[in-house]
Amino acid sequence: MKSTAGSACLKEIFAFEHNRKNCKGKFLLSLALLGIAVGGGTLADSLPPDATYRPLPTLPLDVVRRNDEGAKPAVQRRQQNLLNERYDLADRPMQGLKMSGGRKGVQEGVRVKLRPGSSWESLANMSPEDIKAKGLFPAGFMPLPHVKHLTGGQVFPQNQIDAIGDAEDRNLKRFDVDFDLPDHLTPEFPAPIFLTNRPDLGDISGGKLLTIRNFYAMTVGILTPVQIEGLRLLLTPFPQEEFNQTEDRKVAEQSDGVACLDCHANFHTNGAFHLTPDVRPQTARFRLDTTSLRGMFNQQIHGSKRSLRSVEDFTEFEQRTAYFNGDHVSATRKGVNLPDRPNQVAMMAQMQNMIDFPPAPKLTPTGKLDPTKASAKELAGEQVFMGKGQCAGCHIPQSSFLDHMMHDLKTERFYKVGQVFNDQAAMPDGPIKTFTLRGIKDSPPYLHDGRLMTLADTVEFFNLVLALKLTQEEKDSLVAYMLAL
Amino acid sequence: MPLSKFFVASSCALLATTSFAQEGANPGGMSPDTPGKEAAQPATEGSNTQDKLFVRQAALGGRAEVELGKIAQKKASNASVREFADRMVEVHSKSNQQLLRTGRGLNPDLPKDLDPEHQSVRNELQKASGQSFDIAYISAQIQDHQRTANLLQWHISNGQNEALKKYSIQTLPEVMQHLEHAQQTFAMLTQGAGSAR
Repeated sequence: MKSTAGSACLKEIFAFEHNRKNCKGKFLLSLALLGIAVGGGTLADSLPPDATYRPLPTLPLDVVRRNDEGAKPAVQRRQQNLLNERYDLADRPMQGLKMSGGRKGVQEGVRVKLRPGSSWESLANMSPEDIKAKGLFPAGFMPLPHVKHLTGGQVFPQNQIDAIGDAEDRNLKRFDVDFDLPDHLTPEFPAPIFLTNRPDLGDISGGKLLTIRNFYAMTVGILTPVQIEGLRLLLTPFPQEEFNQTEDRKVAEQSDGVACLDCHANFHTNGAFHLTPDVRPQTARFRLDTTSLRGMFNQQIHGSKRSLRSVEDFTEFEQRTAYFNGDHVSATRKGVNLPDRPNQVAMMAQMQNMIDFPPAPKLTPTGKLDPTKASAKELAGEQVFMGKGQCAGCHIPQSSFLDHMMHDLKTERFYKVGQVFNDQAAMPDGPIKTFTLRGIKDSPPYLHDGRLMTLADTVEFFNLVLALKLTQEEKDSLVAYMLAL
Repeated sequence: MPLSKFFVASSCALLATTSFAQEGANPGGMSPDTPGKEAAQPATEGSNTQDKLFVRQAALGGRAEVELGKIAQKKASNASVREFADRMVEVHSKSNQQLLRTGRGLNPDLPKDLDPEHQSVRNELQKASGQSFDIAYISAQIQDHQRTANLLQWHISNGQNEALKKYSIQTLPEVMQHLEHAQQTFAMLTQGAGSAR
C-alpha cells in the first residue's frame, strides 16, 4: 500500500516535469523578464492545491468521527494548557458592574501572564528589539490559536448550542472540538437588542435568544415587513463547512447548517470563533472572535481583513467566506446559499443597520463624557484616551469610536515570527480593521482573535505596542473610561 | 481499494500509540492507507504523500541554497552579502543533513543536478558581476526564502510524520529570520527598495 502511494506521488512529479518541458519556451521567456527586473530570479514549483483549497475527504465519515472523537480529549487538554500558561482565567468580576443586559458581570484585572523575570513596568522601558531578543513578550499578547487549528472552522459556546438545540432541535455541537474559554470570559447570553428605529423601547429581547421559531412574535409591530424578512433570512440555517449534509462535516447528523445569528447571537456576539477566511496556508490563519453587529449603521468597512465597503457586499459574500473559509469550490459542493442581491441581501442589510449600541448615558451626542455625569476617574481616563494614550487617533469618539480604517500594529516587532503554538504559526497580522469601543464592556474577549480577556489587558497591550509609558493611575482611569462607553 | 487490502495495510502498519500525531489535523482529508493502528488513528511515525513531497521540495531548495551560496562567497562584492552567503552555506548544509536524516526512507527521488529553476539562477549568477551580482543573488534569495516559508507552512498544515513536522516547526522561525535578513540586505544594496517591514 505504502509503495503504491509512493509511486503515485512520483508519477505526479514526473507528469509535472513533463509539463514543464512543454512549457519551456514560456518558462525561459518569463525568466528572462524576471532577469531584467531583478537580475535573476527563481520560478518555483508551485505548492499542491491543498495549500489553498480544501481537499476532498478520502475517508468515510464514521472513520473520521472515530478519529476526531478519539483525539478530542488531547485536543482540549492541549488548548487548556496553552490558555493556562498564557492567562489567569479565574472568575473575578468587578464589584456591582454588569454588562448592558444587567445579567452578567464584567471581569476585572490584567489576565495576561508575564514571563518570569519581567514586570509591566520593566517591559514598558524596553525596546521591541530587546523584548524580542530576550523572549519577554507575554505569550498572551501573541496570536491565539484555534482549539484545533489545522481543522479550524466555527466553534460555538455551549449556551448557544443548548439554546438552539432546545428551540430548533438543530445540533451545533461538533464531534471534534469544544469551545475553549470559560463562560465568565464571554459576552452576556442572550445579549440585549437595541434598535435605532425604536430607541424608545430599550432592550427588545426580553432576555430571550432570537431564533427562527420566535422571531416573528418578538418583532411584529416593532419592525417593518422588509426588516422582518431580513431577520428571517439572518436566522435561517444554510449549509456551512462543518455543518452540512455531505460526509465532509463535523456534526453527527446531516445538518441544515448554521444561521448568521448563530454567531452574532441577538445581533451581538456570543464569543463563537472561527479562523480568518482570508489567509493561507492553514497554519498561518488567525483566529477570529465573532464581532458584534451593534452600530452597523455607522461602520463603513467590513471584515477584519477584506475591508468590504458595504454591509450588503459583506452579507452577500459571507456565504462563501465565513461559511466556507473563503473557498467557493467547497461552498459549491456542499450547497451554498447565494442570497439574491436586490430581494434578499438588501433586506438582511437593512435589518442589521437597525441595530443600535447599548445606551451610554454618560456620553454627550458628540461622544464626549458629560462632566456632570461622569466620575473624576472616568474624566481622567478620557484625557488619557485623547492624549497620552493616543487611543482617539483611531477610535474617534465622534464617529462611534471608529475611523473606518485598517491599521498595522506590527506586533511582530516584539516576537520571533514563525514560532508554532498548537499548530498555529505566529505570523504578522498585518493591517486589521479598527473596531468600535461603544458598549465595549459587553464584548470580551478582545482584539480580532480574542487574545485579550479583559479591558485591563487591552490597556497593557497598547501601552507596550504603542510605547505609551502610562502610569498605573492612567491605566486604571482608561479602564474606568472604557466601561462608561 | 479492495477492503481486504485496506485491512492488511491497517493491521501491518506501525505500532499503535495512545498519543495522536494529528491532534489538530482534520482526518477527513487523510488517505485510507494512512499508517496507523487503524485508519482512524494515524501513527506518529507514519508518513503521508505530503511528507514525501515536502522532503523532495525542501531538499531541492536546500541544496540550491548551499550551491548558490558558495558562488556568492566567491563573487559577492559587498561584505554583508558575503556574510549572508557564509551563513546560508553553513546553516543550510546542516539543515539539509537533518532533513535527509529525518526524511530517510521516504525516497525523495532527487535529481543529480540542481532543479531547472535553480540552474537558470546559477547561470544568471555566473554571468553577473559587481553590484549587479549582489542584487541578483539577494533577490533570488528573497524569493527562495519566501518559497521555503510557504513550503514549511504548508507542511506544518498538511504533513503527518511527527519528526518531519518537528523539523518544519523548528525551521520556520529560522527561515523567517533569513527572509528578513535578505530583505534588509536588499534594502541596503538598493538604498531602500523593497525594505523589510
